[in-house]
Amino acid sequence: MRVRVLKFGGTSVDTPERRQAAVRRVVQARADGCDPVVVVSAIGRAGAPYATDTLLAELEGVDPAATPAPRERDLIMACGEIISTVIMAHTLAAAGYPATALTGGQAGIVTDEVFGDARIRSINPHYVISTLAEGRIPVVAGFQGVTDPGTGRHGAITTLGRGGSDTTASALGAALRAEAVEIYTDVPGVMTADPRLCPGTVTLPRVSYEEIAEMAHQGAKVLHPRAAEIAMEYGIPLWVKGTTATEAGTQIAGTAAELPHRVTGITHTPRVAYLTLHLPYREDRRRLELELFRILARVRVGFHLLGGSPDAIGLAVPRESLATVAGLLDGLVVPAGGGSPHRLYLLRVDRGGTTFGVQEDLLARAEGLAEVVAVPVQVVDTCAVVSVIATRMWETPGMGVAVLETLQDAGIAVLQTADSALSLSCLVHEKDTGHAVQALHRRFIRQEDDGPPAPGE
Amino acid sequence: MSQAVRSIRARRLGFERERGAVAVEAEEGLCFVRVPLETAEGHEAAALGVLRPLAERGLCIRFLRIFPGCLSFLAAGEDLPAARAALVDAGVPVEASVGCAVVTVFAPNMRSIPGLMARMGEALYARAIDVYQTADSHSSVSCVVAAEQLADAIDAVRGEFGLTEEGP
Repeated sequence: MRVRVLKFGGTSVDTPERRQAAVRRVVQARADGCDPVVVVSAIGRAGAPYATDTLLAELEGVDPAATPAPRERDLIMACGEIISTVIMAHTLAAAGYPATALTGGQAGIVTDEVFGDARIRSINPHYVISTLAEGRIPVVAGFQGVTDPGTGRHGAITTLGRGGSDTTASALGAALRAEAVEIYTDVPGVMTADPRLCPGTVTLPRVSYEEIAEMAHQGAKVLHPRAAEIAMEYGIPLWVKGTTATEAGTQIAGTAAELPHRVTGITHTPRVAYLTLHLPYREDRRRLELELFRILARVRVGFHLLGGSPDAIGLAVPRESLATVAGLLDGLVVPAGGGSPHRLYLLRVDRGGTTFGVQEDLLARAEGLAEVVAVPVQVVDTCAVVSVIATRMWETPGMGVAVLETLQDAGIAVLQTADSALSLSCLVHEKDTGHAVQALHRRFIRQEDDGPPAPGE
Repeated sequence: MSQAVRSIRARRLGFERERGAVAVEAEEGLCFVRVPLETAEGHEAAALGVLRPLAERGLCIRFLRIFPGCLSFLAAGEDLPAARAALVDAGVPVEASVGCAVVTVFAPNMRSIPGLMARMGEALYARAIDVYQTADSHSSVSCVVAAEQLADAIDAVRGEFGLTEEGP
């Protein structure tokens, strides 16, 4: 049995025309001598009647002050994919290709009990295999599984969190030893940059698992890293293709270590806020940094680009989290220093509320017992992170110079940088995002319109 | 550039990896370099004045951080004399810490796991281990520490994340 898993995202199944395009992809898989297994996301994006966000809004609208139970929340979130599964199976059947709609649980996907962000524990794909053996096409609901029926949760439906349908496709591919997993979307493959922001982008013919994971980490809306990781672990070739595109798409296979140095693409993370803490005493830098980490972890806010100098700490947070973070930091008191009197740092966010003033008045009464030191926290709330994704970044002299020169020549201010073995990221003002992506794309990917071939060609 | 001295991995428990840290890796033989940046001409221009001489000599750097008033990076210990000479020739003052190491925690899809850096920082802080610099990727968080504190750092991080199995 040669199995090929085909996953269709929400925008690939949201109109009859696009569903017909999806059907043609499934039919082609059969024509190629494969047994197709289809995985679908919920139909459409936020606002569409059966999109996950729409269903969730319906539940949360019951009483905005009451938080729905995680189990029930997952149950309603899983409905969008189930509806999509039935519609797609019937579309296939109506076109003359008998199909069977399966929930994640019916496809044998068993997860842990973490509702909203479950991890797949095992897959028993007997029903999928027997469906194929009957000559029918299994259409599996993505983004979901069930808890172990033998436990106290009695086979409750769980959802897999962000990128869940990609994860379903990849995991099913691994369980079925598929010859390929194909992720269909509304772009022709993995692009060298966001085509809405940068003219002249090209589709990458092949990227490694690590490159795709780093691209996603640095803001690209591509395959989810969880799906890439499963495919890498089980050696399943992944493809990202456009549902209606004629190009071959992007193959995701191999590891970055096998590749020579190359710039893979330019990504960006928009809507970022930049915080800088200015420290009066260097010796307490670590203490303040640690308190910052704790605060952000407590409200489950991830951060980017941690850096600084002996006298300052800089980091970026998603702008949607800024109000929460600023509210927690303004007026925060951090005790430090082993001397007597003790040192109390009092944080003042430059656009914070009234907490700093209240705390300052209260701490004035501690005069003589402790030294109260104000720490200004500057906020730049309209930033973006622009990243150059490249293999062997740390083994290639001059990458930092090339990136910085390019941005400087383009008149773009760089607030801060950070790097990893596969990326070099620059924090820029949000208004410069498109310009920065274009300049870096021109420098590293396409020097001119008919410039050198894209990486991997 | 440097040598991996130890790799410690967690047992794979299910179809997907557990949330959080799955391995710790350490490297030593590194040096940490910090350069004050003159901000009068703009820190980007000042940074280029530091990076160009290094690139011209073909020196590889990592953990590059450009920040108003300060640029820092990590280099192989054996490259320090060449890096120092390049920067001194360019009139750039250098502050270098030799005998540095990197301890890295691997956690797939770490962006979705807030608190990883906090736990790592907390574990190192509790042992009074100074962290010179940090970095992250899609699957890892790294801290630069003094090589003489590396064994203690590995022990602290292993304990924090429950990583006990020696890797290959």
